[in-house]
Amino acid sequence: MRNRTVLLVGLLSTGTLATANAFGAWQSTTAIGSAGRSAAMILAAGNTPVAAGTTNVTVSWTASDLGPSATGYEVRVYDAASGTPRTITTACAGLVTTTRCIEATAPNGTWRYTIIPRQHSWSGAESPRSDPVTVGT
Amino acid sequence: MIRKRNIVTGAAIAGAAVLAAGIAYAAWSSSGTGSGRASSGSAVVVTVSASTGPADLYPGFTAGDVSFTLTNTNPYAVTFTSMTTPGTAVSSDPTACPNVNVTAVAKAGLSLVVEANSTSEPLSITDVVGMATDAPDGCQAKTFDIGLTLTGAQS
Repeated sequence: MRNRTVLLVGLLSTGTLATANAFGAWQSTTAIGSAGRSAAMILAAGNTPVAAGTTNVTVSWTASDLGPSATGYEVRVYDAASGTPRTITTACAGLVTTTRCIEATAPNGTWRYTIIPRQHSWSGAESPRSDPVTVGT
Repeated sequence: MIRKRNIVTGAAIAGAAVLAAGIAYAAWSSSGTGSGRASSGSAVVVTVSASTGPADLYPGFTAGDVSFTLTNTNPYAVTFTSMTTPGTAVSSDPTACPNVNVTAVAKAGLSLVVEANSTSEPLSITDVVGMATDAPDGCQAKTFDIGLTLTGAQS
C-alpha cells in the first residue's frame, strides 16, 4: 500500500509538471504585415536676432533648440525700407556655427537681419527681422 | 484499507486528468492551427497597429523610437522579447521624403506585455530607427511606418 501511494504521488507530480511545461513552451508572434510608426521632428524656427553697429554690424541671437546635431545658422539681410534682400558679406556669409557674427563689410544703408536654423539639409523657419541698424552715418 | 484504496483511486484519476490536460494544451500552436478543446479555442497571432509616438528623427539621428499598440485576442497574456530585423520604412510622403531615408534595426531584450483579450496602451521600442544624414528638408514632420515582427511567449 505504501508503494502504491508513492507511485500515485509521482503520477500527480508528473501531470502537473507536464501542464506547466506545455504553457511555458507556447510561442507567440505578431501578424504578417504589422507595422509600428516613427516620426520626424520639425526644426525649430530661428529666434529674432539683434543687430548693432555703424560700420561693422554685429548680429547675435539666442540658440534655437535644434537637438544634439545642430549644424548652424544661415544669416540673411534685407533693406529696411524696401524689404529687398542683399547678399550677406563676411563674416556672416555661409553657415555660421555660433550664435554671433560680424558683417565687417556691410554697405551703407539701413538693414534688418534674420537667421535660419540649419541642420544638415534641413532648414527651420526664418526668424522675424531684427530692429533696423544703419551703416555709414 | 478500503478508505485508503478510495483515496488512492481518486488521486490517480486526478493525476491522469491533469496529465491529459497538459498534453492537450501542448498540442496548440501559436499559428492557430493546433487542436484544443472547443470551449477554449486556439492560439492566434497578436496584431500590431501603428501609433504616433515622439517626433524624434532628424538627419543623422540613429536612436529613434517605433511606436504601436498590440491587440491580443488570446485568453492569456503575451510577453514579446525581441523584434526581428524590420522591413522597409514607408514614408507618409515618399516624394518629399523617400523611404530610403529611414532605416531600423533589430532589437532583443524587450519586455512588451499585452494582457489577455485586450489592446495595450501605446508602446515603443527605443533606439532602433535612424535617419540618413542627407535626408532632404522634405522629411520634416513626416511619419514612417516600419514593418516589424515581434516574437515572444505566453506570460
